[in-house]
Amino acid sequence: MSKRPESRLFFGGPIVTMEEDAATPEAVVTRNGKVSFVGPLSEARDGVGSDATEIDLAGRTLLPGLIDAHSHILWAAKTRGSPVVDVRAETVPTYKALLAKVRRRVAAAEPGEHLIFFGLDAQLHPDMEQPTRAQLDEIAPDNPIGIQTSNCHALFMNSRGFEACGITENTETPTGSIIERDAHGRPTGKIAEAITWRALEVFYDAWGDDRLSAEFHASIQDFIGNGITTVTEHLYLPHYKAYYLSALKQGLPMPRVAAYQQAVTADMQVEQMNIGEDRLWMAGVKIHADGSPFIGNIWLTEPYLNTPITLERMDLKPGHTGSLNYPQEYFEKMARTYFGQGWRMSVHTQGDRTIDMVLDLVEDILAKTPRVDHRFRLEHCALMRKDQIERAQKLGVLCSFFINHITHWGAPIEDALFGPERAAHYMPAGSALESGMRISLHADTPMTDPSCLELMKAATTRLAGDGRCLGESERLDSLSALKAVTIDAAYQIGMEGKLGSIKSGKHADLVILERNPLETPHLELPEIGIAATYLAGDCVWCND
Amino acid sequence: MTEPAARVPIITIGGFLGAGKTTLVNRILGQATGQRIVVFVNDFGAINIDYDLIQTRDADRISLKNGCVCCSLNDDLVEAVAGFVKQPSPPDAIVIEASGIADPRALDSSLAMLEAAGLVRSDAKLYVLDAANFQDLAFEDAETIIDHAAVNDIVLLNKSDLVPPEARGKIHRLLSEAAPYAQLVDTVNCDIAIDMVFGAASTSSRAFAPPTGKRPSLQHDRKYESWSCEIDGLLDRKKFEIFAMSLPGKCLRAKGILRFSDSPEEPQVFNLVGYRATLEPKPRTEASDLIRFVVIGLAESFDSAALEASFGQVLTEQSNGARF
Repeated sequence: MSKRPESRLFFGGPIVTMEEDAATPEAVVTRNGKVSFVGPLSEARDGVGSDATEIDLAGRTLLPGLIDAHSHILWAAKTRGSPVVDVRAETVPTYKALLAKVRRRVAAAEPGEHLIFFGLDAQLHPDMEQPTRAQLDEIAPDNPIGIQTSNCHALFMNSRGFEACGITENTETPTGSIIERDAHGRPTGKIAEAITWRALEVFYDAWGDDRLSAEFHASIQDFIGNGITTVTEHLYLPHYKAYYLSALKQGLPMPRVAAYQQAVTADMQVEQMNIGEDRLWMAGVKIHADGSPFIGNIWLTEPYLNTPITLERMDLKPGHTGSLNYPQEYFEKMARTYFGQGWRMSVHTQGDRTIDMVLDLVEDILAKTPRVDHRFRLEHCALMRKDQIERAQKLGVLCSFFINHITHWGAPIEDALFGPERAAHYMPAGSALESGMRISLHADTPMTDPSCLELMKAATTRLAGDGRCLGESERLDSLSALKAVTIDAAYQIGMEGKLGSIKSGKHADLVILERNPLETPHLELPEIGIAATYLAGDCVWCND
Repeated sequence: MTEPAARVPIITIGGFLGAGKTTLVNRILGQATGQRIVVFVNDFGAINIDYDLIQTRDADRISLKNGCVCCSLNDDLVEAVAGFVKQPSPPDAIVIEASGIADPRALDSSLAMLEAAGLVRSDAKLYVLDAANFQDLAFEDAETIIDHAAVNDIVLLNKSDLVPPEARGKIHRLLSEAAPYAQLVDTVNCDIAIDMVFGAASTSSRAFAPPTGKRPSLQHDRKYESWSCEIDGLLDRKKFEIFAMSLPGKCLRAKGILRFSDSPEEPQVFNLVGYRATLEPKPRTEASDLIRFVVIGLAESFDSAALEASFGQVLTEQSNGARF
């Protein structure tokens, strides 16, 4: 079945193409899902037939569809969608209130119902304690329950939860994961890293497919409604594919998805795929080299500060410097294997010592098996040092920054975790840009909500929630921040030839904003209204 | 930058549909002797009935139409507030009454922007909670209200006269755990002193300020629907009573300004929250003679065609027809 060729003519407002020439054309024409013309309005009118739908921007700004280079669109639906209970500090202000909410939910639960609470936060719940298995058993003797940390990396469960997930004193701790145990090897409540995400799948499965489909639909709307037309699935697992296919089959406006399959061993199959016309493709392989700064499992040269937050709420030893997720050899074997298979690598790195290790490895791999245009990515890069940025730039390694750490956790990052010197260069996007690197910014949804305009504000102001600025020298200008969520994000996912700018022949993924972000004060960027989103030439969202 | 004390104080009022937000606004205006207070009203539904119910006393009223503050209006709100504050003689205070379904956090970024610009001083965030209705709520609805209440400075446990002491104690215990930074106040008809509201800058102290989110993931545009009409005509009182009795279960909230054929000169204000309906004489304002009626319900069970049809049956005469 073929659709009638559909053509649209956009004019009447600023058109920010994000092409190098910085031209500001009068008109853009789209046809059959692609941009077919960019230039003067009179030529555009001459070139299109009478079937073109004219779209008068009426002073609003046309931009390429926005790209979040590191997110989890399906996993966000699993992790945050109903019936998961939101207990993030912005909703439930204290740990005591959080436990009260857990008690209320358990009291209302069906017998045996699986319950997950998302958002426990050692940095933002001021009275936080680590929940124990015994304590959770007392609250919920008959229901499997889990409390997940807001950084997604750790989960606290009761006995019924451990039973449901099949984790016992006889379970061997998988390489790269953490199971806290007592002297007899019995799990005491906390698990962290890869095993967390596997355990959570047991809960998601219990809630059924209808729930997931509905929540995936909502997650899609969340991205599209924010003008985001391309996302990634950064912990892709093969069984996810059916959900994307189903969404496409239903004609849902699913943003284009660049999948990065999660590796926990060196022997998995990674499927070469590109479905639809660049609607879902395998972009590469993701490995966690370390964990989250907020639970203490990142590898550092300088230790964490010794503060009540690190010592009590996070339960770290004084002078804690963390560690890698996997034994170094094990990690290296995975990275060499998938790199060797030709995949583009995307490696989660937060601590500077982890980054040293990964850069050493990349240098060694490239010396032995040189590859042009490998686009090896480092993800998040919280504590990357300046010398490491220069080294990465020389090696062709790219950084994607989780800049929302600053808006959401800026104050505790400076005061409680790392001190002012390290905070001033935390997520060093400015230094990376200065080195000449093509950087990207990301919200890592579900960890923070999807909005590229929020990312731009975070990167241009570096303002924490309490109004302090973390490192003025690392701030970006508006244009660089916009590049990091359009053309340079497209470059990082290997699609700069098809996405990320408005150019004849590229996909007609577009967004109309109420104001031009390049002329909007940084603080007001998140307030810019999204008027409409176009995916492959079709209007898939508009603010009526 | 202007010193905080010299900036225009601003308060926000949140609360679920029918909790008593408009009553609170009127309370505040009633105590504002000689002061000029600008009120921003945002009502969910095509016609801004709350706007008409607010009794002015040296007050300006600005109504924000179409949807609630947290979805689409923040930009307009910032501009409108800034416009008033920059006038040669700025108002003495500003009140924002948010839509009944707005997440109170949605206003945070607008307030932060106005404060950062040195224009206003955020005095207090108030939340009105219908204590009489609270115990009968379904679990999810109660939790939504608890989450919303928890991010405010003052929570009014309104209609407390209708709650037995034991149940009131239970609500207090629940909220003092769930909303540890909020002051809890029992009220009847939102009887709170204006001094408690203005200049009451947050007494809470938090280790770290929570982030200001742009759009909470709560997507109520897909959850709620409304139906409204505006009619030049009169209603049959008996038929309306039967119609009103059929509403609970079909909707969350209904309100309207009505005229009945047995007393056309005495407009009445109709309010329905949960299972409790009231009909009171309409306070005097300069509003129009038209009948206005708004019904708000959950999208999945909402049937506007059926509402339109049955409301049509209630009309006795229609000189100029109805606009739905």
